[in-house]
Amino acid sequence: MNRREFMQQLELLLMDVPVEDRIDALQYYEDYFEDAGYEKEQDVILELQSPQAVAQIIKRDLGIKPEQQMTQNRENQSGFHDYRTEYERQNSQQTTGENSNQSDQRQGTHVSQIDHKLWLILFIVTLPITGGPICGAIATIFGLTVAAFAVTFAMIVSGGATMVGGIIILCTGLIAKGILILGIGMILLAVGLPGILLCSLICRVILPAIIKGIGKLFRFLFRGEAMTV
Amino acid sequence: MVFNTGAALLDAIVLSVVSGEDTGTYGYKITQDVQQVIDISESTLYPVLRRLQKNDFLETYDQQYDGRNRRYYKITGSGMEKLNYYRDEWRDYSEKVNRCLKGEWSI
Repeated sequence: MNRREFMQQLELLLMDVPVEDRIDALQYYEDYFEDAGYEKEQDVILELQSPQAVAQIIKRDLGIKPEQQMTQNRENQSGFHDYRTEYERQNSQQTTGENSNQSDQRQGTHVSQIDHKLWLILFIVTLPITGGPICGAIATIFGLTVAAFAVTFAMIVSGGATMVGGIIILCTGLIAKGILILGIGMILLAVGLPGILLCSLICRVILPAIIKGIGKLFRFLFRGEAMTV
Repeated sequence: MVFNTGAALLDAIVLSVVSGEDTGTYGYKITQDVQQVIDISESTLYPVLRRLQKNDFLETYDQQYDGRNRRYYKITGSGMEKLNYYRDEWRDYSEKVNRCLKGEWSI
Protein backbone atom coordinates (compact mmCIF):
# COMPACT_ATOMS: atom_id res chain seq x y z
CA MET A 1 0.00 0.00 0.00
CA ASN A 2 1.27 3.47 -0.78
CA ARG A 3 0.40 6.84 0.66
CA ARG A 4 -2.19 7.64 -1.99
CA GLU A 5 -4.10 4.40 -1.41
CA PHE A 6 -3.83 4.81 2.33
CA MET A 7 -5.32 8.29 2.23
CA GLN A 8 -8.08 7.32 -0.20
CA GLN A 9 -9.15 4.44 2.03
CA LEU A 10 -9.00 6.64 5.08
CA GLU A 11 -11.21 9.22 3.38
CA LEU A 12 -13.77 6.53 2.50
CA LEU A 13 -13.72 5.18 6.04
CA LEU A 14 -14.34 8.65 7.46
CA MET A 15 -17.42 9.27 5.33
CA ASP A 16 -19.72 8.98 8.33
CA VAL A 17 -17.71 11.54 10.29
CA PRO A 18 -18.87 15.21 10.33
CA VAL A 19 -17.33 17.00 7.38
CA GLU A 20 -15.32 19.45 9.48
CA ASP A 21 -13.73 16.66 11.52
CA ARG A 22 -13.06 14.65 8.37
CA ILE A 23 -11.28 17.51 6.61
CA ASP A 24 -9.26 18.22 9.74
CA ALA A 25 -8.15 14.61 10.11
CA LEU A 26 -7.29 14.19 6.43
CA GLN A 27 -5.33 17.43 6.43
CA TYR A 28 -3.44 16.21 9.50
CA TYR A 29 -2.41 12.92 7.93
CA GLU A 30 -1.61 14.55 4.56
CA ASP A 31 0.67 16.93 6.46
CA TYR A 32 2.09 14.02 8.38
CA PHE A 33 3.08 12.08 5.29
CA GLU A 34 4.42 15.23 3.67
CA ASP A 35 6.59 16.11 6.68
CA ALA A 36 7.81 12.55 7.15
CA GLY A 37 9.07 12.64 3.57
CA TYR A 38 8.97 10.17 0.73
CA GLU A 39 11.70 7.94 2.21
CA LYS A 40 9.72 7.33 5.37
CA GLU A 41 6.39 6.76 3.64
CA GLN A 42 6.42 3.00 4.23
CA ASP A 43 7.61 3.43 7.84
CA VAL A 44 4.69 5.73 8.55
CA ILE A 45 2.18 3.36 6.94
CA LEU A 46 3.64 0.49 8.95
CA GLU A 47 3.46 2.48 12.16
CA LEU A 48 -0.10 3.64 11.49
CA GLN A 49 -0.99 -0.03 10.87
CA SER A 50 -3.94 0.48 8.52
CA PRO A 51 -6.48 3.09 7.40
CA GLN A 52 -9.03 1.08 9.40
CA ALA A 53 -6.99 1.43 12.61
CA VAL A 54 -6.53 5.17 12.10
CA ALA A 55 -10.22 5.70 11.27
CA GLN A 56 -11.14 3.66 14.32
CA ILE A 57 -9.14 5.86 16.66
CA ILE A 58 -10.53 9.07 15.12
CA LYS A 59 -14.11 7.80 15.36
CA ARG A 60 -13.71 6.53 18.88
CA ASP A 61 -12.54 9.97 19.92
CA LEU A 62 -15.58 11.53 18.28
CA GLY A 63 -17.83 9.03 20.03
CA ILE A 64 -18.87 7.16 16.88
CA LYS A 65 -19.70 3.43 17.31
CA PRO A 66 -16.72 1.77 18.96
CA GLU A 67 -16.09 -1.64 17.37
CA GLN A 68 -15.08 -4.23 19.91
CA GLN A 69 -12.75 -6.33 17.83
CA MET A 70 -10.39 -3.51 16.91
CA THR A 71 -10.18 -2.39 20.53
CA GLN A 72 -8.92 -5.76 21.66
CA ASN A 73 -6.51 -5.88 18.80
CA ARG A 74 -4.94 -2.60 19.86
CA GLU A 75 -4.85 -3.37 23.53
CA ASN A 76 -2.45 -6.23 22.92
CA GLN A 77 0.21 -3.72 22.05
CA SER A 78 2.36 -2.81 24.97
CA GLY A 79 2.93 0.72 26.16
CA PHE A 80 -0.31 2.57 25.77
CA HIS A 81 -2.77 -0.05 26.86
CA ASP A 82 -3.79 1.93 29.89
CA TYR A 83 -4.12 5.06 27.84
CA ARG A 84 -6.62 3.31 25.63
CA THR A 85 -8.75 2.14 28.47
CA GLU A 86 -8.66 5.55 30.08
CA TYR A 87 -9.59 7.02 26.79
CA GLU A 88 -12.52 4.71 26.38
CA ARG A 89 -13.77 5.50 29.82
CA GLN A 90 -13.57 9.19 29.05
CA ASN A 91 -15.38 8.72 25.77
CA SER A 92 -18.16 6.70 27.27
CA GLN A 93 -18.58 9.53 29.74
CA GLN A 94 -18.75 12.06 26.95
CA THR A 95 -21.37 10.09 25.10
CA THR A 96 -23.49 9.60 28.18
CA GLY A 97 -23.22 13.31 28.83
CA GLU A 98 -21.58 13.17 32.24
CA ASN A 99 -20.02 16.37 33.50
CA SER A 100 -16.41 17.23 34.16
CA ASN A 101 -16.85 16.54 37.84
CA GLN A 102 -16.99 12.88 37.00
CA SER A 103 -13.94 12.92 34.81
CA ASP A 104 -11.97 14.35 37.71
CA GLN A 105 -12.49 11.04 39.41
CA ARG A 106 -10.20 9.45 36.87
CA GLN A 107 -7.21 11.13 38.46
CA GLY A 108 -7.07 8.54 41.20
CA THR A 109 -6.81 10.82 44.21
CA HIS A 110 -10.54 11.33 44.28
CA VAL A 111 -12.83 9.42 46.53
CA SER A 112 -16.36 8.28 45.87
CA GLN A 113 -18.71 11.19 45.16
CA ILE A 114 -21.41 9.78 47.43
CA ASP A 115 -18.97 9.34 50.26
CA HIS A 116 -17.76 12.93 50.31
CA LYS A 117 -21.29 14.31 49.82
CA LEU A 118 -22.45 12.35 52.87
CA TRP A 119 -19.64 13.90 54.89
CA LEU A 120 -20.54 17.34 53.53
CA ILE A 121 -24.18 16.93 54.59
CA LEU A 122 -23.08 15.65 58.00
CA PHE A 123 -20.79 18.64 58.33
CA ILE A 124 -23.52 21.16 57.48
CA VAL A 125 -26.23 19.51 59.60
CA THR A 126 -24.06 19.30 62.69
CA LEU A 127 -22.66 22.80 62.18
CA PRO A 128 -24.97 24.47 64.79
CA ILE A 129 -23.62 22.07 67.42
CA THR A 130 -20.06 21.60 66.26
CA GLY A 131 -19.70 25.20 65.07
CA GLY A 132 -19.19 26.54 68.61
CA PRO A 133 -16.46 24.14 69.65
CA ILE A 134 -14.75 24.49 66.23
CA CYS A 135 -14.68 28.29 66.51
CA GLY A 136 -13.61 27.93 70.13
CA ALA A 137 -10.74 25.65 69.21
CA ILE A 138 -9.56 28.00 66.47
CA ALA A 139 -9.83 31.00 68.82
CA THR A 140 -7.95 29.10 71.56
CA ILE A 141 -5.09 28.24 69.20
CA PHE A 142 -4.99 31.84 68.02
CA GLY A 143 -5.09 33.15 71.60
CA LEU A 144 -2.34 30.84 72.78
CA THR A 145 -0.17 31.87 69.84
CA VAL A 146 -0.65 35.57 70.61
CA ALA A 147 -0.01 34.90 74.32
CA ALA A 148 3.21 33.03 73.57
CA PHE A 149 4.43 35.95 71.49
CA ALA A 150 3.39 38.53 74.09
CA VAL A 151 4.97 36.67 77.03
CA THR A 152 8.20 36.11 75.12
CA PHE A 153 8.36 39.73 74.07
CA ALA A 154 7.59 40.94 77.61
CA MET A 155 10.24 38.66 79.17
CA ILE A 156 12.97 39.78 76.80
CA VAL A 157 12.14 43.50 77.02
CA SER A 158 11.69 43.56 80.81
CA GLY A 159 14.72 41.29 81.29
CA GLY A 160 16.85 43.58 79.16
CA ALA A 161 15.56 46.71 80.90
CA THR A 162 16.09 45.23 84.39
CA MET A 163 19.66 44.27 83.50
CA VAL A 164 20.38 47.80 82.28
CA GLY A 165 18.84 49.12 85.52
CA GLY A 166 21.03 46.79 87.57
CA ILE A 167 24.18 47.98 85.79
CA ILE A 168 23.24 51.62 86.40
CA ILE A 169 22.69 50.89 90.10
CA LEU A 170 26.03 49.06 90.21
CA CYS A 171 27.70 52.14 88.76
CA THR A 172 26.22 54.35 91.46
CA GLY A 173 28.09 52.21 94.00
CA LEU A 174 25.22 50.17 95.51
CA ILE A 175 26.90 46.87 94.68
CA ALA A 176 24.64 44.36 96.48
CA LYS A 177 21.44 45.97 95.21
CA GLY A 178 22.91 46.27 91.70
CA ILE A 179 23.93 42.59 91.51
CA LEU A 180 20.50 41.52 92.78
CA ILE A 181 18.66 43.52 90.11
CA LEU A 182 21.12 42.48 87.40
CA GLY A 183 20.50 38.84 88.42
CA ILE A 184 16.71 39.28 88.23
CA GLY A 185 17.11 40.75 84.76
CA MET A 186 19.21 37.78 83.64
CA ILE A 187 16.62 35.32 84.93
CA LEU A 188 13.84 37.12 83.02
CA LEU A 189 15.95 37.08 79.85
CA ALA A 190 16.81 33.40 80.33
CA VAL A 191 13.10 32.56 80.53
CA GLY A 192 12.30 34.76 77.53
CA LEU A 193 14.92 33.47 75.07
CA PRO A 194 13.60 29.87 74.77
CA GLY A 195 10.24 31.56 74.10
CA ILE A 196 11.65 32.66 70.73
CA LEU A 197 12.23 29.03 69.85
CA LEU A 198 8.69 28.17 70.94
CA CYS A 199 7.27 31.01 68.81
CA SER A 200 9.23 29.97 65.75
CA LEU A 201 8.09 26.38 66.24
CA ILE A 202 4.47 27.58 66.34
CA CYS A 203 4.89 29.67 63.19
CA ARG A 204 6.86 27.18 61.14
CA VAL A 205 5.32 23.86 62.09
CA ILE A 206 2.15 23.95 64.16
CA LEU A 207 0.18 26.73 62.42
CA PRO A 208 0.96 25.57 58.84
CA ALA A 209 -0.03 22.02 59.80
CA ILE A 210 -3.36 23.22 61.20
CA ILE A 211 -4.10 25.43 58.19
CA LYS A 212 -3.14 22.63 55.77
CA GLY A 213 -5.38 20.24 57.67
CA ILE A 214 -8.35 22.60 57.50
CA GLY A 215 -7.69 23.15 53.77
CA LYS A 216 -7.61 19.41 53.14
CA LEU A 217 -10.83 18.93 55.10
CA PHE A 218 -12.60 21.54 52.98
CA ARG A 219 -11.21 20.18 49.73
CA PHE A 220 -12.48 16.78 50.77
CA LEU A 221 -15.92 18.09 51.72
CA PHE A 222 -16.50 20.31 48.71
CA ARG A 223 -14.47 18.81 45.89
CA GLY A 224 -14.18 15.18 46.89
CA GLU A 225 -10.40 15.01 46.89
CA ALA A 226 -9.00 12.24 49.01
CA MET A 227 -7.61 13.20 52.41
CA THR A 228 -3.94 12.34 52.33
CA VAL A 229 -1.60 12.86 55.23
CA MET B 1 8.25 1.03 29.23
CA VAL B 2 6.53 -0.73 32.08
CA PHE B 3 4.61 2.31 33.33
CA ASN B 4 1.46 3.51 31.59
CA THR B 5 0.78 7.03 30.44
CA GLY B 6 -2.72 8.21 31.31
CA ALA B 7 -4.78 10.65 29.26
CA ALA B 8 -4.04 13.61 31.54
CA LEU B 9 -0.30 13.00 31.47
CA LEU B 10 -0.37 12.67 27.69
CA ASP B 11 -2.25 15.98 27.44
CA ALA B 12 0.34 17.57 29.72
CA ILE B 13 3.26 16.27 27.65
CA VAL B 14 1.69 17.45 24.38
CA LEU B 15 0.88 20.89 25.81
CA SER B 16 4.42 21.19 27.13
CA VAL B 17 5.96 20.17 23.80
CA VAL B 18 3.77 22.64 21.86
CA SER B 19 4.41 25.44 24.36
CA GLY B 20 8.14 25.04 23.70
CA GLU B 21 7.69 26.53 20.21
CA ASP B 22 6.77 30.20 20.31
CA THR B 23 5.63 30.36 16.70
CA GLY B 24 3.83 27.03 16.80
CA THR B 25 4.76 23.56 15.65
CA TYR B 26 3.26 20.89 13.37
CA GLY B 27 1.89 17.38 13.77
CA TYR B 28 4.89 15.41 12.58
CA LYS B 29 7.31 17.32 14.79
CA ILE B 30 5.01 17.08 17.82
CA THR B 31 4.86 13.31 17.34
CA GLN B 32 8.65 13.08 17.06
CA ASP B 33 9.11 15.20 20.19
CA VAL B 34 6.55 13.28 22.23
CA GLN B 35 8.12 9.99 21.13
CA GLN B 36 11.40 11.18 22.65
CA VAL B 37 9.62 11.12 26.00
CA ILE B 38 7.12 8.28 25.87
CA ASP B 39 6.40 5.28 23.74
CA ILE B 40 3.33 6.26 21.76
CA SER B 41 1.89 5.18 18.43
CA GLU B 42 1.78 7.78 15.66
CA SER B 43 -1.96 7.43 15.30
CA THR B 44 -2.67 8.12 18.98
CA LEU B 45 -1.59 11.73 18.81
CA TYR B 46 -4.10 13.11 16.33
CA PRO B 47 -7.18 12.68 18.58
CA VAL B 48 -5.24 14.24 21.45
CA LEU B 49 -4.36 17.31 19.38
CA ARG B 50 -7.92 17.53 18.05
CA ARG B 51 -9.38 17.36 21.54
CA LEU B 52 -6.94 19.94 22.95
CA GLN B 53 -7.87 22.17 20.01
CA LYS B 54 -11.61 21.73 20.63
CA ASN B 55 -11.09 22.60 24.29
CA ASP B 56 -9.34 25.82 23.22
CA PHE B 57 -6.04 24.75 24.74
CA LEU B 58 -4.45 24.74 21.30
CA GLU B 59 -5.14 26.86 18.23
CA THR B 60 -4.22 26.06 14.67
CA TYR B 61 -3.22 28.09 11.66
CA ASP B 62 -2.15 27.19 8.17
CA GLN B 63 1.05 28.52 6.70
CA GLN B 64 2.80 28.02 3.39
CA TYR B 65 5.75 25.68 3.61
CA ASP B 66 7.57 24.17 0.65
CA GLY B 67 4.77 25.18 -1.70
CA ARG B 68 1.96 23.68 0.37
CA ASN B 69 -0.19 24.50 3.35
CA ARG B 70 1.07 23.15 6.61
CA ARG B 71 -1.06 23.12 9.75
CA TYR B 72 0.59 24.62 12.81
CA TYR B 73 -0.44 24.17 16.42
CA LYS B 74 0.09 26.88 19.00
CA ILE B 75 -0.73 26.96 22.71
CA THR B 76 -3.46 29.40 23.85
CA GLY B 77 -3.75 31.39 27.08
CA SER B 78 -6.07 28.85 28.64
CA GLY B 79 -3.80 26.08 27.35
CA MET B 80 -0.94 27.71 29.21
CA GLU B 81 -3.08 27.86 32.37
CA LYS B 82 -3.93 24.20 31.96
CA LEU B 83 -0.26 23.36 31.44
CA ASN B 84 0.74 25.20 34.59
CA TYR B 85 -1.95 23.33 36.48
CA TYR B 86 -0.62 20.02 35.13
CA ARG B 87 2.93 21.05 36.04
CA ASP B 88 1.96 21.75 39.65
CA GLU B 89 -0.02 18.53 39.92
CA TRP B 90 2.83 16.56 38.39
CA ARG B 91 5.37 18.08 40.78
CA ASP B 92 3.31 17.00 43.79
CA TYR B 93 2.59 13.59 42.37
CA SER B 94 6.11 12.79 41.19
CA GLU B 95 7.66 14.01 44.43
CA LYS B 96 5.45 11.65 46.40
CA VAL B 97 6.16 8.72 44.11
CA ASN B 98 9.89 9.50 44.16
CA ARG B 99 9.96 9.66 47.92
CA CYS B 100 8.04 6.43 48.20
CA LEU B 101 10.17 4.53 45.69
CA LYS B 102 13.38 5.77 47.27
CA GLY B 103 12.14 4.31 50.52
CA GLU B 104 11.95 7.70 52.23
CA TRP B 105 8.24 7.47 52.82
CA SER B 106 7.12 8.97 56.10
CA ILE B 107 3.81 10.32 57.27
